[in-house]
Amino acid sequence: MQAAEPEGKRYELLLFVSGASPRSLRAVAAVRTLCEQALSPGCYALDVIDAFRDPDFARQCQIVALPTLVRLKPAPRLLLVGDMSAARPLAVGLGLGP
Amino acid sequence: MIGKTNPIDLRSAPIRPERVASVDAQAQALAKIPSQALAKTPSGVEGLDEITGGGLPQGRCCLVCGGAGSGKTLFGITFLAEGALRYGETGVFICFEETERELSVNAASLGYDLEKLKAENKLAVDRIRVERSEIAETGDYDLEGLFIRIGYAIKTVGAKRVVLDTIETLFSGFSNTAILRAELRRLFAWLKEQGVTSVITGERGEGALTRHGLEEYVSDCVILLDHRVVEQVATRRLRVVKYRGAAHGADEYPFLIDASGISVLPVTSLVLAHEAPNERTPTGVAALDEMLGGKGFWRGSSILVSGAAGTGKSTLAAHFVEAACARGEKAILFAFEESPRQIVRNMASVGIDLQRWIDAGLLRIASTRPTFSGVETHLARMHRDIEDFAPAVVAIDPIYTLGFVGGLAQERIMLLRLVDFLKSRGITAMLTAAEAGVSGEIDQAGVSSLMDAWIQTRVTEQDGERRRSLFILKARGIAHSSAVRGFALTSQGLKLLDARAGAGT
Repeated sequence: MQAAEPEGKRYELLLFVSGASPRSLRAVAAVRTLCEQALSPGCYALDVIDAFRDPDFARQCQIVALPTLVRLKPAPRLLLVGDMSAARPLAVGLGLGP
Repeated sequence: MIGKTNPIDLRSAPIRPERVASVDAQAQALAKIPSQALAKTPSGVEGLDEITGGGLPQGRCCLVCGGAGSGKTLFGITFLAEGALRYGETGVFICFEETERELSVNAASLGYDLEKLKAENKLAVDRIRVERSEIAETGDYDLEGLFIRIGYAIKTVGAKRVVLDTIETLFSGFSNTAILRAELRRLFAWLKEQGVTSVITGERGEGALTRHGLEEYVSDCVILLDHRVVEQVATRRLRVVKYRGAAHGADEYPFLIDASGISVLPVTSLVLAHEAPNERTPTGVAALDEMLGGKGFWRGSSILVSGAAGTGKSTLAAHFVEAACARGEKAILFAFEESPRQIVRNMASVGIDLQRWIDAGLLRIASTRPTFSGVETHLARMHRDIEDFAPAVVAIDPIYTLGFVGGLAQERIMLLRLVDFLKSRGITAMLTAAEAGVSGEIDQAGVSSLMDAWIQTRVTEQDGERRRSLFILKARGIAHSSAVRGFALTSQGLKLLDARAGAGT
């Protein structure tokens, strides 16, 4: 559908947050920044979901901690938990780091 | 005056004047556990509500801990299923270990249909799966997602009851225990704010009640389940370790898990406050009633019949239950040596037709091998049969086969509990005991003091013939004959021979 990344990977990401808490805002900012820097536009989809507004979806995605970034694709499914303030684990978790 | 020592744990409750005053009235407080002080939610676990004076603390958290296979999950299922079926309270089950399917299968083993409850919107189940391998931590977080999911489930069905089974699984999914601990503390406080009564299960840890010290956070009520094997016989026990602000039975109580659910065998009489009915219960043998002032035993009393093998104890017990049925009362005969069919056949040979009363629904014969399960399990089962059938009369034939399992002291305590229970229900009970020798082996066990009346049967050889005789060793509160009366087992039942005509001395 859309142009794939050089490595042939397409990223589908869901970021679950809890309202507009400082922790949530930090996570949103960190994930957005990383995606913009490391991934070319069009090869990733990032949805930010407020778990308070869609608890049923949070349940389906097995969300326990917040914020949680769910990497649906590429497989395997991965959950990155936290405010994404630790940049390295975030990048590694996304398969972008060293 | 009763001294200052008080078994009720007052340390956990602020000492208020009215509480101090109640220390003096300790006996009364234990007999009538105050209900206004703390609202209770019936647990649905048979017998537990009697121990706790009404159930679990309403709107609070209760920790149920125990080792693997101790019945924690089944406790939680019972709490919710009974809540929905019997008390009209919907519930939420949050499972951390089992899948929804496994949970339904487990519940079915107790006779509960969780799928039906879910379909009727009386129950919501959410499985929380935490896999360490798919989680990476990237900074600060909280467990708000868990709160949201529980809150969502509560809202979906309008739940009044919540079970978290087993929340400590979270410790294997997340590495930051400082966050987890803070969040669990917040979760338990939050659950209270939701106005739900919660049961939180925890795995027994070494040297502590739970592996991660949940008991520190859940301080309102702690129940310990134990499953131990003694001499190859498995026994389950339950103990209320803590119950803030309420008196509770502090002993270990045997409990039972089987196809009809969980039940606990409570000590019903924390104090000796049984009713003393003024009615009599005939024995079923007219001549024996004659010996007891013409009327038989006091209703609600416990009667021991002891004697060597083949002296007619079982026949006496059969007469006793048969007479009750003939009066239109219900009776249970617990037998530990023969099957119901054998008993019916054998008693028919002495003219006692038990089948008629079984068919009429007035008599139940319950027989099991006592070695099949531990003595507590056994008594718990008897307890439940009695609750279920509500008989006026019970015969146990014999109590001493029970003694093959477990130590003697333990046995005596269990027997005491059973006798107490029967008395509290106003049930007249006849218990038989086999004497191995001539000496008072039974008295050594101290059982006779528990009994209101004691009949001894014996066989003597005289003129080349074995002659049966009986006498009343004691009968509290009844002017009774002290004669030793010979008797015969005829095709019309047990017949006492004329006084002095039988085998004397």
